[in-house]
Amino acid sequence: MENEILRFSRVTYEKDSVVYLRDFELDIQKGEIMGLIPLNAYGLEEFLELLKSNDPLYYGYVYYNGKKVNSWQDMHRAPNKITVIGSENSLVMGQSVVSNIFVLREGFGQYIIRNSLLEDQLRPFLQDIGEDIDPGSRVEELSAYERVLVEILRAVIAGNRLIVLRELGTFIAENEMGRLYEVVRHYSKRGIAFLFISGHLEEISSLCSRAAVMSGGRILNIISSDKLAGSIWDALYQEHSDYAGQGAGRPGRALSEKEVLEIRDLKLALGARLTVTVRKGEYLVIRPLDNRVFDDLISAIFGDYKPADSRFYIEGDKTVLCRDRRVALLREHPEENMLFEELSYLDNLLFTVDHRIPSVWGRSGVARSVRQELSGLLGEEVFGKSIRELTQKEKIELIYGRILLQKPDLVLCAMPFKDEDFSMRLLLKELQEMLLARGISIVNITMNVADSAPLADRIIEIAAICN
Amino acid sequence: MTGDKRGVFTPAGRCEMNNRKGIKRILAIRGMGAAITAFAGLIVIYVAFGILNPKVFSGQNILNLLRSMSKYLLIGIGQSYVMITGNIDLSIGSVVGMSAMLTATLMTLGVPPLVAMLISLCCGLMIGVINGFLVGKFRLPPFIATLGTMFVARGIGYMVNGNRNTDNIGIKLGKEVGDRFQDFFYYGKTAGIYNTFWIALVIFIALFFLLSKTRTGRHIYAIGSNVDAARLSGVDVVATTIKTYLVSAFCSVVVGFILCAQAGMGNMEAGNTYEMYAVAAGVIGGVSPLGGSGLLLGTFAGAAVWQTLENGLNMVGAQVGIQRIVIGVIVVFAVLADAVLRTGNGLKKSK
Repeated sequence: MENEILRFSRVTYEKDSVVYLRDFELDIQKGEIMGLIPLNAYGLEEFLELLKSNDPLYYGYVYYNGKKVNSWQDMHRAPNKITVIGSENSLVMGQSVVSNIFVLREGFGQYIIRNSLLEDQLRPFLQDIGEDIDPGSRVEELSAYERVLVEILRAVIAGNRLIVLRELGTFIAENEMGRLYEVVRHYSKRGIAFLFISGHLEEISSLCSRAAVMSGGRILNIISSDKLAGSIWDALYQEHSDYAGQGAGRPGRALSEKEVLEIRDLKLALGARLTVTVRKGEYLVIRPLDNRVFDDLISAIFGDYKPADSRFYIEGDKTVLCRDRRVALLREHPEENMLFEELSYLDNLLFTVDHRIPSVWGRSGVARSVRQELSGLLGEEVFGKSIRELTQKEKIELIYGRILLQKPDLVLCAMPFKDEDFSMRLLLKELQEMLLARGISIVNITMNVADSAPLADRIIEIAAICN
Repeated sequence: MTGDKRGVFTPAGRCEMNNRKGIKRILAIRGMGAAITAFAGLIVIYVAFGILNPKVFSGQNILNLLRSMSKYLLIGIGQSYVMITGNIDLSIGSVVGMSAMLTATLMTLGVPPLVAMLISLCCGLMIGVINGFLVGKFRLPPFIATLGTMFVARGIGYMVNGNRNTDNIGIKLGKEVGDRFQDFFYYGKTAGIYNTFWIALVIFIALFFLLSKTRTGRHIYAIGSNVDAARLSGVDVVATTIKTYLVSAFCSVVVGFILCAQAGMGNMEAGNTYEMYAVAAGVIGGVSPLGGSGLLLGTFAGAAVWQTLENGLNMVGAQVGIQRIVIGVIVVFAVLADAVLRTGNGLKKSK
């Protein structure tokens, strides 16, 4: 017990009369790097919320750092000093690294801020982990990897005994992940525990001593490191592996010679350059090996800025990608970013079809026939729901339904599998295969190729030339 | 026989089902609930004032009401277009004043009314284009951008006649031309109803169609709902934003003509604080100041509620201060209702 940092004992948690966690059992020891593999996303957000804020339980007990911090009988609860680090970082943009680490946290006692003193205090921590980050630099100038490091340092300096790392592999480059693992191991030796949440076996097995498998708001199994690659594991992943294996390498898939997209000499951060052509019906994965190159590429493709000398050509015509209906663009988490909540389901579905049917908004007959045509695929009941009422699956299906109606030559998507659970990743793969089957090319820009590799015809890696 | 459980067998049952479906479909239109609520409120307010003072129900009062609300309806339409994109136009009142002053000044100089109106229209639309560019292209906060053009337009209104109100518009063109202009925009009637209302109604129908039945209309809603998704879906955000500010400027210019016709001269303070009346007409009718939702039908009801309140409170002898307080409270409640409906705050019982 004295080495135990966290224990969830028979926790049942409900919110708005929905049970999200049922008989949830989890324990993490001092200095342990524990893995958590969510087979589906059900209850995961609620678990993390509960971990931080100790919301009222329906049943069960939570112990943190040797003390009972929450139980179904208790009335007085305080938040736990636990940091959750994921793709949405909690740092305050516009502020320096030292401000984020020292000033913007609970318990900072000084009224007058002496930056040089704080910077001097931070330097030993940076030297300790062998990293060279300017303590005075603003956080928006840092790479995603460096921001994660700053968040870890902030948690360590604040005295947190447990740090949760969530799906870091989806936004940190592989070489940087290796460095991050070293930092995590360094602090775990000093007694800080980590909970590493990832849907990818290889990430879990390379870092964690044990791993818990979570599904439907329960912990199904806890597997020790020596059994991570064993039979239990294989069984759990059978369905996913079978599916992933189906498309591996896509042997013999004949591709059209017709080019749908050409990117000519796109200049990116750190001296990287990209020239590439995409053929009709091709699945191309572009994987930048550095986070800053990735950010730059995403900005260029999604039109966040216009590179002075970039060249995008669709079927030989120079174009602005976001204004060309021959292209469909999907940001990461499209279910959060690509829908219009104030418009109806049908309006969302038809939104990009008006280049083909200009009278779509004036004639209800068009909408009616589209509804009839797609109700088999999407279901009839969704048409009566508002966007806010849709489930994540229904939102994803709506977005891909919109693309089907748009009939683009090409879909450009950013990290489509990021943070998704197994069932959602399977759904996304099915939907992407459906697009490929209709001759629509897909370009997937991602930091993690684990999910897209089985679908890919080609994978291009972009390296930084200089640092 | 009224049909089985599914209610589909008899004509009566089918009719009932269809009616229910129709009502449900109408209510499902986003913003329709707020518009219907505003219309219901309008009826309640109107009847209540009518009980307090039966003159409210008189034919002449109704005609006056329709004429007076037309100004608020027009500026409300303009502001609603802009608000649906999630922006705001503070220059409306100043463009109204500029339009009234420019038109009147030109007419007092002997310029034919049509030419004077065209020149005013061009100047007003120029302000709309500038607003659209500043907000859409250069991404200035709409509050700041239109605050700037508000002062510019008001300044132009002051300067065109040397910082004073104009003479009568018929001073050079002759009384007949001046009267014709005034009749066309304000004092004349067609089919027993003041022309002002007909003008507003025609513009309302045209802009209602543009917003609800065209691609541009859908793009306007999309920008207000999720500007990034709209951009990535191929919407020209800059052009669409400019269009909304152009609509706003156009409506303001027309209201300027009406005020010029009403007074028979150009008043430098014409249209003062109209931008706020326009916001009020929109939000009372359910146009969300956060963008993405709202119907012009609601704006119609909002303008009518506003004018009925003013008219009714006048007729029951309420002080101007009371009128302002009542209207202010209604506006705050309308926006609060929108915020509650959007976020669901207050609807859920806290544990």
